[in-house]
Amino acid sequence: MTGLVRAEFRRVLSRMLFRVLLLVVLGLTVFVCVIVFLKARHVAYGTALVIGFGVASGVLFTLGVVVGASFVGAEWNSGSMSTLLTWEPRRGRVLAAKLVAAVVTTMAVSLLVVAVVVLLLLPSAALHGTTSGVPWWTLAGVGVRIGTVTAIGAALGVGLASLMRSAAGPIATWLIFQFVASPALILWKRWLVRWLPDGIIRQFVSLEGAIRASVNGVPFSFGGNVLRGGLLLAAYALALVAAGYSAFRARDVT
Amino acid sequence: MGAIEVRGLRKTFRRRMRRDTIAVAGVDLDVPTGVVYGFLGPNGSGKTTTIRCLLGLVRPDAGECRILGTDAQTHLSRVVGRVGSIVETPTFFAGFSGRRNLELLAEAGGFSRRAADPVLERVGLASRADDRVRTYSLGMKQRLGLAAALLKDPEVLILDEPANGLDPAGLKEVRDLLRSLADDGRTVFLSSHLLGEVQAICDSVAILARGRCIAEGPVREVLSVRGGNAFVVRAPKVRDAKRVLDGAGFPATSRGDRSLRVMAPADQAGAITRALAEAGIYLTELRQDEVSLEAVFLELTGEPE
Repeated sequence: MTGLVRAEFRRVLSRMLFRVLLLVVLGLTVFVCVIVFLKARHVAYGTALVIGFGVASGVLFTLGVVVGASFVGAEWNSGSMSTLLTWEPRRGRVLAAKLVAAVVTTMAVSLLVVAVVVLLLLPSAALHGTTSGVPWWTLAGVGVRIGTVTAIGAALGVGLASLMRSAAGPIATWLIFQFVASPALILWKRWLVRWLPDGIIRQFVSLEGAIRASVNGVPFSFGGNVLRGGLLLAAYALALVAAGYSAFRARDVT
Repeated sequence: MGAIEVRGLRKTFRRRMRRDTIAVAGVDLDVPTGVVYGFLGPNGSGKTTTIRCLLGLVRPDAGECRILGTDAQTHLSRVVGRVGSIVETPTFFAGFSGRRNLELLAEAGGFSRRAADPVLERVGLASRADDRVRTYSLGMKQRLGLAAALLKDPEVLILDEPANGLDPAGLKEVRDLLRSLADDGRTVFLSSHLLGEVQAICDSVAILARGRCIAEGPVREVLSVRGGNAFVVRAPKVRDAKRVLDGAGFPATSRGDRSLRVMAPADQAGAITRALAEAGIYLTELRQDEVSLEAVFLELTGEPE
């Protein structure tokens, strides 16, 4: 199993799509931070960070879905899944190894992005604004939760790709759901926002709570909403992974 | 214990809104250890489905598959490290090099990544090992597939059309390689359309048609279904020659090219010559009619010759 997981890590890190996305994400992060440095005046460091993190969380979640889905889907597209299964016929292990590789890698990348944002906004805040605001542990919590959101996105992508056995299908399905179906549902029934990924991510990352803490000095607490958001998001991803595993296990590889 | 045993294997692919496809309809196979075993059949006869069932990729509806005595449906993981395989056209990550693909497979299977180099050398791919797979020709991909199958140093090789896309020199290399593997005591289960190749290297064969095994056994036995020993006789008066030979107890049939196919044991060439000469017919050609696997295959599977 260790060898299988190691091979999956090598595979995910060697993928061109992953490398390109990593460069694009880091490039965009640096670009945004430079713009903030040049344009912003009197920036409260903590406020800037939580706003930056808030924007990043949605983007990174979607990127997690794309990386997870393309990682597994590409194997179905190329047909190399059947080659791999002639080496490790236990499909549960194969899927678990892929899941671990996708989740850990995307979480690491996400934390790297968070670290880059923190570092790059520091000179901006020091020169133009203030470094006071949200306590560092609150920011660290938001950062870790963004990493978790990305990892959950990757798990969701792995589950979807295992169900649909392709890369493009699950990515397109997710993007349509996220950017067309989900807003339409929210417009139709406002309360659905609490049950759709966008709202849940916001709840989990607890952007509003952190901003309130930054602006008004209201103590931030890791409340029930954060827990609910995280559990619900994880439950959605788990359900999709379970459905993907069940399809992967039952269906013939032809 | 044979290397591969298949009993009553059945598989039907169920399709929504379309008629079900019976891919395998009760196949039995016995592949002894240390032989090259040819697995033949026309397109759609169930060869690849049988191989996929053996390798755990397809779940059969009924029947049993055993590899090296282990049930392939329930405990394949116990023997998979001793089985190398190619299923149809081998598929790899096109963006990775041949070596990287093999190293990843070796790592996934718990083998040393260093095992890649000797097998790349063995299949003649060492000089292109660091090129991306997307730049490989079909023949080179096939060689890479063969290298992947050999990576485990397997006791049993299950190869589905390993010679696809190979040039004549490549064909000979693969033929020699497979033969040498069998000579080392390994079992090679070879599905192929190249009947000449199969006849040249296989010890035993099985022929599949419409999901059933219609002939199985040593090559010589399978060839004998064509009717045993025969001669080709060419003479100026074919019709007279046929009458004389029929009368002499050597049943003859016209081959349609002014020659006859005469059924007779191998040691009766002299008797045929004498019978014709005594009737004043002097033959211009007399040779043994060598039965080809292709002819037997076409006859058994009902494919037009």
